[in-house]
Amino acid sequence: MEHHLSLTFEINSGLSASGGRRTIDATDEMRGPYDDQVAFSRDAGRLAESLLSEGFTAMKIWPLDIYAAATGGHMISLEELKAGLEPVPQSARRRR
Amino acid sequence: MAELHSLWSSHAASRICRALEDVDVFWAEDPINKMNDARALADLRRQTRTPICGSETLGGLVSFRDMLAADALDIVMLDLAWCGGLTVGRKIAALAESYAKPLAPHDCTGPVTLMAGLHLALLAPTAIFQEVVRAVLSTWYRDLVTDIPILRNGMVQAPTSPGLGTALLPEVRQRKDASIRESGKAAHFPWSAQGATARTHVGVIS
Repeated sequence: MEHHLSLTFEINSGLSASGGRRTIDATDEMRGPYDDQVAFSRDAGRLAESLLSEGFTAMKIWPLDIYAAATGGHMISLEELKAGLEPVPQSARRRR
Repeated sequence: MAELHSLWSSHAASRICRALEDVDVFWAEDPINKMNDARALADLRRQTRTPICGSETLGGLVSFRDMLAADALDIVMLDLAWCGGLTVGRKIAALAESYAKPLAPHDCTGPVTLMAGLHLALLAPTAIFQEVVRAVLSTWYRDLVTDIPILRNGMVQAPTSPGLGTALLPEVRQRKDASIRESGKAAHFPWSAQGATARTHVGVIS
């Protein structure tokens, strides 16, 4: 019997050049072809398509991290929830 | 999957996990700060249908036992480099099996840990995923070791070489950014067959 295991997928380490947690804004550019933290922040659906094309059927993203620092993680507003989760349905629609 | 990186307190985590119900994520990972709080996690699980995954941040068998005994997790994530190696990881896998919980080894700790996690996942009856990072699999993981997992159509193939199935490339030791630490003699590792040999750890800090 051939043994194999399905893969989930996480993007890069999520650390900034200074070693802190990396955040993405409109000015960030891709660092190499697989800078997927930028990719999911801009268009998670396109990232999902890219992963599917290589056979990855699961994807993990962290679109809400950017809202934690303001309150030390104690509070997230409805507007932040809606904005943060906006990438998720895009990718969910492309699930198999 | 939604990764929350242990950034949130319980109330905010609950709001997030309930919002995630609408998009039916496979799991929300490490929702609270800190993930050793079994009681808070069990409370969170009672408030949301979103499955809770944790945690690569936990160390030792007892931490995982306490989590599972408290009904604090839906999916058991572990990192072999942090939980106690394959010695402890095998026991955590057995615990997860005994609590009928899926297991998913973490990646981000380097190619050696990834290969070890892959072996564990192939062994563990309830393992469902081995996490990988596409960006590093295609870049610096390849620069450090002789072999990395072989992927075929989204499935990783079982290694066929002896041992972990990978080894540090000899040239890694010569790199200017290599940090070389010699540690351990027999007295420190009396249970190890290799205990009489000083061990060398080579890491690269970039």
